[in-house]
Amino acid sequence: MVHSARMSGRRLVLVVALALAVLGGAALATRAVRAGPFAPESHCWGAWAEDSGPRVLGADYARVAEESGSPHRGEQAVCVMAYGVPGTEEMQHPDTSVTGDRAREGTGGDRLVARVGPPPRSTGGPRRAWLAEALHGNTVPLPEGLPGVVSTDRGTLVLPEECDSGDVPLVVTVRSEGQVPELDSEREVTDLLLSLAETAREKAGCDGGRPTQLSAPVPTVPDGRPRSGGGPACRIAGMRFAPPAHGELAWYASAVGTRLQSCSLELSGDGDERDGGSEGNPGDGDDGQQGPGGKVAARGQFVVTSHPRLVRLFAGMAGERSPGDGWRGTGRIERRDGLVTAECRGRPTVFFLHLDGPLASSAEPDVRHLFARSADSVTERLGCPAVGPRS
Amino acid sequence: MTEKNSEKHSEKHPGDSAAGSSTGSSTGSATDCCPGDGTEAGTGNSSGNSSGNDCGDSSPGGKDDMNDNPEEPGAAAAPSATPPAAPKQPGRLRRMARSRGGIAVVGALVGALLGTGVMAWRSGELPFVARDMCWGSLSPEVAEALFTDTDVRSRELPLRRATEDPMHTECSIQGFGADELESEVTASVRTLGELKGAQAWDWTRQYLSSRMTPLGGGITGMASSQRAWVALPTSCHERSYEPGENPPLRVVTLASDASDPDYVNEVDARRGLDAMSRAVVRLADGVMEKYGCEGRYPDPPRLPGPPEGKSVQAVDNERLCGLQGVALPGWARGEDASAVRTTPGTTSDGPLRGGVHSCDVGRPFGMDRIRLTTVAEPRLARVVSRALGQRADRLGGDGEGAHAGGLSVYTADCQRGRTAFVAWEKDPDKDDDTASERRSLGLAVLPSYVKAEAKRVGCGEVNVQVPRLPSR
Repeated sequence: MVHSARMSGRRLVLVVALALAVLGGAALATRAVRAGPFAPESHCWGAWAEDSGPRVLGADYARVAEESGSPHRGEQAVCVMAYGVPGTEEMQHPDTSVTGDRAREGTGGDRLVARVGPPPRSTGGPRRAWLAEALHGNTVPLPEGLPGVVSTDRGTLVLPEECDSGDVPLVVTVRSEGQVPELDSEREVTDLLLSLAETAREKAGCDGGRPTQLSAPVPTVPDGRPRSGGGPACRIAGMRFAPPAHGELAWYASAVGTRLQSCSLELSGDGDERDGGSEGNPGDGDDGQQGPGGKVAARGQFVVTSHPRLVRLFAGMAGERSPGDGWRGTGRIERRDGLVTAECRGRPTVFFLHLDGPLASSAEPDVRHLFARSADSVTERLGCPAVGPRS
Repeated sequence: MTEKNSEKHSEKHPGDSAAGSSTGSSTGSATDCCPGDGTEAGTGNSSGNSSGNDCGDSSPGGKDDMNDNPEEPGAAAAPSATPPAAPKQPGRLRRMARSRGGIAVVGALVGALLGTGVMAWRSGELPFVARDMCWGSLSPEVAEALFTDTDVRSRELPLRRATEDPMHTECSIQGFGADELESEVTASVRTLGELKGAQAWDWTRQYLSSRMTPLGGGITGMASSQRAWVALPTSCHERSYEPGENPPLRVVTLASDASDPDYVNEVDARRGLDAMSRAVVRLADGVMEKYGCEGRYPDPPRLPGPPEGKSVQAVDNERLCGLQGVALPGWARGEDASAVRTTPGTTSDGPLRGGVHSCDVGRPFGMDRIRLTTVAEPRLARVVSRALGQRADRLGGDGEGAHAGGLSVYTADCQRGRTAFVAWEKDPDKDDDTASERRSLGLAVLPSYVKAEAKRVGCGEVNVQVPRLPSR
């Protein structure tokens, strides 16, 4: 019996050891694929690890990425990641160039373009073109007060103050390009944007503060189609245009919140009309893009924001002088542009309008009045005094 | 057997436990005289003793076996071949268990069992801990806070996939006092976007009253001590929708007792609001997890509650509901319309917090003269706008609208999208006037109400044309 007890004791040890070994092995195996020699490859400065969630980083696709520059305060860095079904022609010669000429022609595969950098220094055309892309009306503001917007084909996030160089903020953007430029969901774009933001903060040495995270559900763009037809543009009562002689006026107005409102306008027309269209705006680099009714002849944008990080994006675009008689705040109103900063419910709020030539000439009654009335339709909603003169 | 019994006991069903052990004992005695069951049956019920007679040696033998150490699974699987008290004649299984191969098999089995246990623990499926109620979303603590009674149970219908339309599923949480059902809270997940007519109105009436406080914090939802709702994010929809196709609004709701009691005492209202607001957000999070959608809402802060009874405000006849330019007509003034209550946490100027603003006018203990509501959340506004059917009388003006039987609904396109304005006379037939002579307070105040609210919602100037009102 004594002998047998010792034997069973050893047996028990063996059984336990084996059981632990089975458990431990399984646990190790699950860990091993995430780290060590089998660690997944990652793209764009290490921000996008393969199989980390978003479908573009999953097993359905092959990926090739090219970085130019590295995220630093005050500097531009771009990374282009081309992706596609493995073995297809596009993936044998992927277009990872920053310009993306072949991708635009439809032979370079689908691409994600990640940018980290300050907004263009120029306060003219290049900045306006950048704003038109970064704060497009077909986006929704990110929840939990994050200074950014997202849709299924783009995302923009302004990094925290620690990343500023001087007064200029560092901004990360993600843009999807290609035959089917839309990713699966706003959530997927948000995940890509946030991991890019975290990496950019690490590389730029400004990851000390609160991490750039999101726990709430990401909202979806309520209606991706451009709107057109009767009624005021952008659903803003004061924004009225004369009916266009050719083509159609359409607008995207998904981003409407208390801290950000953005609307993008597109006047579509015939191909030969567009040459005269965005004349004087060489920075509006969306040549050849299709609008809802053909080539886009002219674009416009209207933005109101009181989010301090987003307000920064408009810095330096207008002087510190009064915009004119009867106006509140400071700023400037020109032939096709308006930018006024005024206090609204205790917050410095930016009101911005840009209209390409053909749109500016059809503003009712003119750009100056259209800007004032549009801004005041919004102040009415926000519950603050009018910024423009009563007309 | 033991596992089955202990699971029965872990549930708080005192009525069920006797029945459970009686079936256990009868099967036990009929098949193999399982000794473990014998003791259970003896303590559990009296009828078990009579059936236990089949098993002649149940009481003495049972005692011996209970002292025997817990057997290895292999031995227990062959109870008839070897009497448990005879280890000297090793059975085939025991012999195998002693061999090297056997050790490996047993080791692997134990490892697998441990692994399953760990998995169960990690996924929260352990059988002996109190279950989270209503599709695993409400912890016992959160559910019990909804009741004053201590014994809380739940029953639920399966949570169907979001693709199944029209989707409506319920979970009932019941509070028992002295084993009697005393109160009940119904949790449900439903596709609001498919409601029409009376159903759409019924929901609007119950869930958008001035008793409801917006949850805030980026959550589209409201709560009171009696009702609560949270809109599920559109990203939670499984079916893929075409661009331009609006997925129907889905909500989770909690409902207890009457939606709009005349009076709730301050203490109960406070406690109820805290419990309901926390539970409805947890419910939304739980359902979102079951649907596999990403993101969770944090618990809501302490919300401002509605004033009750004597603390409701006196009505301002010239600024009804605090709105500039909205006056109560002279003929409607008086005791019946002496008190006003507006959606807690909202103001009558500035941006519309939470997307819904409601105002009830009536007596301090019974706000039942008229309700004016603005719904600036486009998806919700679409539901509200379907409350009236095709046969309602159309209203003219800059937007669209109709009225019927004391209810007027008007919609306009505003900066955020569709907005709905509602005027509802709760008891339009109070006076026994003939239809032609009856004056509609709803139609009387709707134009000025819409005009005032439309501005701050960002609709610009919205004029409503109502049919000529009979004058006296």
